[in-house]
Amino acid sequence: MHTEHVDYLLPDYVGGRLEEPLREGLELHLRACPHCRAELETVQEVFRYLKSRRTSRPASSYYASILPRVRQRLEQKDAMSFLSHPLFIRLVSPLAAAVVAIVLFLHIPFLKTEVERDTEPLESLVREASAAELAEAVLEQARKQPLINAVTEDEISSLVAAHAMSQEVFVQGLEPQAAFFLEPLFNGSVTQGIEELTETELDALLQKLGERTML
Amino acid sequence: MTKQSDLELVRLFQRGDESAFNRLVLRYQEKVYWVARRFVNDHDGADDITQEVFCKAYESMKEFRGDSSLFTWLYRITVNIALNAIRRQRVKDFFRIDDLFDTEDTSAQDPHEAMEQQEDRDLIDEAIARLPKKQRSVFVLRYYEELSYEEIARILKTSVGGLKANYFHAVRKIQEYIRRAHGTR
Repeated sequence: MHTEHVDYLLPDYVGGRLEEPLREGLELHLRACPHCRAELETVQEVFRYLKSRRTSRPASSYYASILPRVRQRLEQKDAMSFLSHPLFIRLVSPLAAAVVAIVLFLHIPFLKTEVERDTEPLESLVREASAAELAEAVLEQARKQPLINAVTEDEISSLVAAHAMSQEVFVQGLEPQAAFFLEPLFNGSVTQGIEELTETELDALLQKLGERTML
Repeated sequence: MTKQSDLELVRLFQRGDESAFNRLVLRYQEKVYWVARRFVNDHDGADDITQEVFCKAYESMKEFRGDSSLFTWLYRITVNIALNAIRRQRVKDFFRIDDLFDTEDTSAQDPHEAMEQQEDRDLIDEAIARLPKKQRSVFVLRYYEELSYEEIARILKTSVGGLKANYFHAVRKIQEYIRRAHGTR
């Protein structure tokens, strides 16, 4: 038996799941290998710990409640299905993200240093424009693919972080039309925004959070 | 009445029989719940994931072709939804947005024993929660669900080679975590 394979067999050996020919070979190896015997003790320690645990079980009535609640959730999802329409999401989420990005330039200047993309035209527009003009500019910018990609992929962590600090910052000073686009994404709670993130965005966000010690 | 197979129930559902879906839920709800519970370590989180799994299954079952067993398919959905739930909770915890997971209710038992078991359970839960997602998945499916490596490979859509190493490294990391924790207590 190759030494490098023995470690990987130990959890199954301790758990009683190692097939017979391998088991014999492993036991023979263990007699001659102090390193693997030490590893064996490690694995045995963990399994003893795991076996000693008792996990509390749900009440006996719990399982009977699952199906009715699944049905209820399905009905709710069905009722809300217009909000999850692909066209709505494709339009609203990038628009909302673009609006938030522009407001960030206005209200949280220090975050501008985090932005890597070329935003000069946007920055000068933001400084000089009124709220109504900003809303119109967002709609215009959102139609341009690079901005949408940049906001959703590179700045999602800044958006969520800034939103966590103060949601009101984003809706004040905006035309109702522009503010409306924020509602589905950040509907009173950043939790909703986080729920909207895809798996890839979540991984990217977690990586960015790991890189920052303080926002 | 003979028990209908999973595939028969799926076909019935695909032809419009809603009660077939209900029977599948009843058949797999406990399994799905416990897989979710092993990932997120609390009842409420597991409950939420369980419901999401069956909602997702309902939405996707029309396209189910039977290339894998329903069991594998459901497990795969459960693992993916559980891992996403963990990711989202880590983000929320970072911003301290939501309350942290509620501790699960312990059934009536001696308070001292309950506290000791709570401590032990917390350590194990914390250790498992810190595993990288693949190691966590392999550990949960191998140790708690007692699945074969071939089945785990199908669920995770990965090859069998390397799964034993994932399992071993998961166990090692749990041991290191427990030792460090005991060393600082």
